Amino acid sequence: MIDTLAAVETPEGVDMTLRLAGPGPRLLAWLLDLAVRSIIIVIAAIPLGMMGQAGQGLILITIFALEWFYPVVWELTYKGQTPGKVALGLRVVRDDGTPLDLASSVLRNLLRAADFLPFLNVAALVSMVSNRHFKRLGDLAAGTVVVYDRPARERRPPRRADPIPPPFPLSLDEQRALMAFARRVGTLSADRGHELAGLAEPLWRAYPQRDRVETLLGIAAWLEGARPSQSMGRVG
Amino acid sequence: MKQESFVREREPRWQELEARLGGKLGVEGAEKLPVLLRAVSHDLAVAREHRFDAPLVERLNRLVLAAHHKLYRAPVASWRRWWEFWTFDFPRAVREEWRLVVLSHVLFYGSALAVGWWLLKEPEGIFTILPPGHVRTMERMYDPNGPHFLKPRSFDSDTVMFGFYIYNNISIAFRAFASGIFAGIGAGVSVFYNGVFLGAVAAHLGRLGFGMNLLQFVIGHGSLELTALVMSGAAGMRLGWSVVAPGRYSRAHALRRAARKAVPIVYGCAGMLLAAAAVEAYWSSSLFIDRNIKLAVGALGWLCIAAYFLLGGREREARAS
Repeated sequence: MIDTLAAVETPEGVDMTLRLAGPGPRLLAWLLDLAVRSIIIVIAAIPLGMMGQAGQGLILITIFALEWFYPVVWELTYKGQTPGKVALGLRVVRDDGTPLDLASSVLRNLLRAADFLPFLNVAALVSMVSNRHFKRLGDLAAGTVVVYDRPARERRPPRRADPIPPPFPLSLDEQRALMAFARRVGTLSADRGHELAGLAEPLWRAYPQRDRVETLLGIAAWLEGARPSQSMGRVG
Repeated sequence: MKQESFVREREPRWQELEARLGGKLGVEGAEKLPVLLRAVSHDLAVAREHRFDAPLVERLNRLVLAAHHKLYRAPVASWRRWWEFWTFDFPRAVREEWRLVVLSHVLFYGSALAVGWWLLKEPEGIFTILPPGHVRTMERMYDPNGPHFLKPRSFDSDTVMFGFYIYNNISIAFRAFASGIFAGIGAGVSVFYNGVFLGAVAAHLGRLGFGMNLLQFVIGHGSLELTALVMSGAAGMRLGWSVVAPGRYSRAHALRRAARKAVPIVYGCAGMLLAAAAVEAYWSSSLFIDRNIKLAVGALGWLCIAAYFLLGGREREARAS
């Protein structure tokens, strides 16, 4: 896996790209939800506690309902999000990118009991790092994934350099990697930029008299369609 | 195609789709949405293939994702579905898994009988199963001459027990189901352990001559509670078994299929346990109902449960095939 994207083909015959969320933000969302749940229980317990014994029974029912159905109710009424997921910008969808249905939501949330074992979500973590889509056991059984809901951070424009042609044909992924490098290099230190550029040795080897980073930026500019100014008219 | 001219030409339809995504669709929207989605899907494919700017591809991808989310959604729940569930889906789902349901019953009642038989021969064994304090409380509760036997309780204290039974019993059933994903072991252990517990309590109280008191208490809600616990264990075993023996599917796919089949059983068991909690709190412990009535109604309950799972939905099943 090079990135955390998952492609889903729609009936319209096009691939949608889902950006999968990893264990870190999901654990944070879970902790936030735990806090919200605890606060609800405390608030509910104040009036119920004054109702005597019947109130105690109702408190137990509240705890039960929140433990098992808090995420289900939120996910179904709020488009796959719980308050914790809203805060972290996460959303649960089915594997094919469609909204959750009752059975999926119930399954993934009942199986939290298994994901929690042997303690503190260890089973969930093991499951998440051993499949490509960061699925915990509940996601595997329900056929769901947790994705980022917000757009990726605005990418800065690529750093420009004089366009130079690539020394040999590049695959689509290689072209993408070069263009992504041109956008990112401005956020890196000069040393790190140099180090990263080192990975594309066959490319900068072809232009021995040039700086590595400038070579890659030049090729990226070429790939994005720029051409040396004197030949502007020829390319189409 | 140049990106600029592409954007200039297609921008209006992107904006139209964007506008239709907020709020209700309406009749016109419902007609237009699929057309627009198809067009914008095409634009996304073109933008990707021509390697237009990443932000543009990202924007189109988000637009397609949102529209797809709006167009394809699960059917909405209705009262009719609810009725169909109890009269057809639930008993049929249980019958479909009859092997595991029978296995789970054998595990539960088998362990109960084995422990009961052992305790009748070695009464002291009870202390290896339950802590002594627990045994003494239990003896007091069912001793007809003791101070605690079916003391008249208020409606309020019945409600505490109602809440407790929901909290405790349904959680046990859910956990038995969920832990079944580990090759069915968690579910099996849960069913076995509860069987041992029942066998130990029944044998110990029976030996002391309090058996009738226990029976008249348990028989009413037992048909619902015990059956639901055993069957949610079977649903959990279904999950685990699909991973152990996926047949011609991949393990991941087999697990998803098994989960879909197990889900009606879990819904049904939760419903049964909810009903059992009410019976247990307000009926089984009641002092005002004659013992023989409790026994008769309880026995009838068991017959009804058996008939429900053996016969429920058969007629429709026959019509469908």
